[in-house]
Amino acid sequence: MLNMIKADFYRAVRSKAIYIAVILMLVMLALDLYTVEPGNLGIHLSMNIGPQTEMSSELSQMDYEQLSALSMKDYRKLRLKMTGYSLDRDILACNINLYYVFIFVAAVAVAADFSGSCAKNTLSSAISRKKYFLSKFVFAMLVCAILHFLNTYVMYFGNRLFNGGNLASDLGSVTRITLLQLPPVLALAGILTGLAFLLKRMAVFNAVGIPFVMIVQVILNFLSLALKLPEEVMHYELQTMIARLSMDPSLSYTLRSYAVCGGIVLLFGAAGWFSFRRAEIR
Amino acid sequence: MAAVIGILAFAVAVLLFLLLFHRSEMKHISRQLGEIMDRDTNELVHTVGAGGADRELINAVNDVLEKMRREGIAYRKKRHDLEMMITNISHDLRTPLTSAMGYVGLLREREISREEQARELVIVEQRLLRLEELINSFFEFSKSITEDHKPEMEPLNLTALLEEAIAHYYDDYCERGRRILFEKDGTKCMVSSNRNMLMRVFENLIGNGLKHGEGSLFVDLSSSDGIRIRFSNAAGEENMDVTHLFDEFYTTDISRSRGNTGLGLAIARQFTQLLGGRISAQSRDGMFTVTVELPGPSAESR
Amino acid sequence: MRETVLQAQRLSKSYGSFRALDNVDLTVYKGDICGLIGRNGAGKTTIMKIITGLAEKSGGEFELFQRPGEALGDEKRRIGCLIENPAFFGGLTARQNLQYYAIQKGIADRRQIDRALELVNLSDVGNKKFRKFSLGMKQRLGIALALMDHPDFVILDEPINGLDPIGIRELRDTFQRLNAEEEITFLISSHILSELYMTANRFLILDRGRVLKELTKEELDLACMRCLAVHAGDLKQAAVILEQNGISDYKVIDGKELRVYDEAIRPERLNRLLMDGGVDVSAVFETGISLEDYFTSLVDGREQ
Repeated sequence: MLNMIKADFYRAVRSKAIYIAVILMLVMLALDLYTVEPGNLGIHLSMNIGPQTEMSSELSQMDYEQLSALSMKDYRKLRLKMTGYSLDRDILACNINLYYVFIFVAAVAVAADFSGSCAKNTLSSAISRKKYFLSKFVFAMLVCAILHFLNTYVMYFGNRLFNGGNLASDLGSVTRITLLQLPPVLALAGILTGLAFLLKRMAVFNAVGIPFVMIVQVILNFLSLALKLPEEVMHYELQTMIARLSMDPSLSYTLRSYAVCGGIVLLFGAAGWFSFRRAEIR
Repeated sequence: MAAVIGILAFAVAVLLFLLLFHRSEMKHISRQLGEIMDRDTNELVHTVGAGGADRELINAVNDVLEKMRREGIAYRKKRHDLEMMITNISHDLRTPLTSAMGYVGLLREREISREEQARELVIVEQRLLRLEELINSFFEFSKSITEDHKPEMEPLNLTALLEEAIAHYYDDYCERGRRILFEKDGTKCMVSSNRNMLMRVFENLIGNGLKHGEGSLFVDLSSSDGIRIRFSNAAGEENMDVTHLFDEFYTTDISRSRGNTGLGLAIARQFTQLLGGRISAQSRDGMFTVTVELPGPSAESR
Repeated sequence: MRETVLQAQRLSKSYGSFRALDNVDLTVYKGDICGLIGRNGAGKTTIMKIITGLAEKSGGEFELFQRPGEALGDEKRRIGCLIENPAFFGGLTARQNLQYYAIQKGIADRRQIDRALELVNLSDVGNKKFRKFSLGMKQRLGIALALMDHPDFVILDEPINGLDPIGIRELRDTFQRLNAEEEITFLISSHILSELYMTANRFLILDRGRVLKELTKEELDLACMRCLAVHAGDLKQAAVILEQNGISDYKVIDGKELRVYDEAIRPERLNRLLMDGGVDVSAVFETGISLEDYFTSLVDGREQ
């Protein structure tokens, strides 16, 4: 299995996809840091995800007309003057954005193998299907974890460098948040890898993968309204989990959300495995 | 403080991981070797993912495995060839023997005239002579491959020796309407060598030309750029595999059916090499040429 | 009993209602170069996919290296194969592609990559990316991958696709050399009979999922009756001359033609022998039915 992972690293480093992913990540970070505000590529969930840190700012005193009259530069200047605002923690709360970076990873690791028919080379003379499947999963999770940490520290030091120290937290708490967010990040990797094994072809995978999380969110939202589920259920949806885990979560919440993550990985893993186990490799 | 402990713990974890990994690689290697030894396979030892010294060990082990396999295959091939040759030899020996026995039977049973008796006795003698020739051939060859010591050398007139060898076969060639043409650059060419062995080489090559070639035999002696003797004639068979010509177990079907075991050329090669020379063959444009190169009189005999 | 590398019995595969394979029996002995002959769609690729685990069989069973079923785990490495089109990563060069698979398989010595490229004459494509390769080059790379890891059993699906005649011959020489020097067993499929005839020593003829015939090269030769045909005035005398010269493998056909089956006899020599013996020879030529005709007759025979 280690050989598989080494080989996939060898290939990933020589492919364009990973670099595009990293660039995408850096661009998102750059935008966030410049506007002093985390962006959100997904659906902006309207529910209250918890109290923000105490902020005071001239911005909060402006009305809508004044706000829309501001240029980007001025907006940025004003935001930089906020007190009690931890930009880095706020950005970390929106780490669901990493999903769109992770898609590249799964694409390179799995979908490319199937689309180009390269999987047959490996499966016919190097390794069993079980080991192949597990190796890809481990590889995807490993790379996503690396990107996750990369994201955090580039963001942290970038923030300190470009936005001054007063919007930053200490290294320790940022690290702690990153570690706490690891299981949901791995769950995202699991979803994507499972989908890749299920769908196999690159085009299909992209078409389904990109809006996947959003669609799930919409469905969950709808279900929770329709079935009048308690609000707590929505707290275990991935975007919310990532956000809440960045805000000093309680132990019970942490454990329960980890269980959900584990369940997600198992679910998608099983879906991918059972569809792959006996499929004909073209 | 906590950070330092954290980093130390991390480092220890990494080292532990590497150690366990190394152990796993070693065990994997032993297991693979066990499996490879059990089977008849071309497989080599593979790595689980380690690098560095572990890899070097694997490569070294694989080199040994490859060497073993090459030798095994060469051995099996040689053994197969040897079995073929033994079959050939017994067949070749039996042929004249059976024939002679047949005639002896005839002589004993039938009432025949004295003239016919005499005729048939001549045939029997011929067959037995042939048998003797064959047995001598094998004996000579087996001697040549077991002999280690250097042959005794003496100064010889190569030109005269060649002319003597050619004279032995001249009549045989003429009977078939063929000639032997000898070209030399000079009347005398001295060389330090062994008379009997060199004579045998020449006779084998000329005799080979008689049996397998067509048309006239061209013998060419040149001493300008090292001593070189060329024996050429029109090839009797197309597509001769010259790489195997001197292989002691090689015979073409055609030559075997005429009662030749292919040892003649093998002996020629063996003797030439023992005398410190080189022998090679080319087949081109329908002409087959054997070239013998000998060290000059000033060269040290090896 | 010779050691078998592959033994398949009553192998079947159906895609829905379409029977791709119908009770196929196939044996490949160690050291063979086994040729799988069949038209497109006969089932050659399907067999190969099943024994390498790329597809599931619908029925029957097979043994690889005398173990039932698809090769397990480490045994898989003993097989090298090229099935359907050669598939590699477009953005990588030939060497990088092979390197990827070398790492995957755990090959410790990187020189094996160079050796594999040399075997197929791809040593000097340098930095050309795979997506820019010609069909022939892609094919060669596929074969290189199959040969790379010192396999015991090499399975090739139409390997000479897209190669020029010189390339085909070089490849044939390579296969035969590897077969002799490293005792590698080959299973090669093709629809080009003449080429396969020169490479393989056993043949399996397949049509629409069924085995039509399984035979050795000698049997195929006999069936195609390659021989030297002699037309002469006095065939009886000709026969006597042949006997006198130790040629016994011949037949007189219809009192008009004498056929010599001994492969070592060349037409020129035969002609000379007979002429020297006083027989008026009007024609000496090589004849027999062609492979294509033999194959067609088998297929048509089944269709009737």
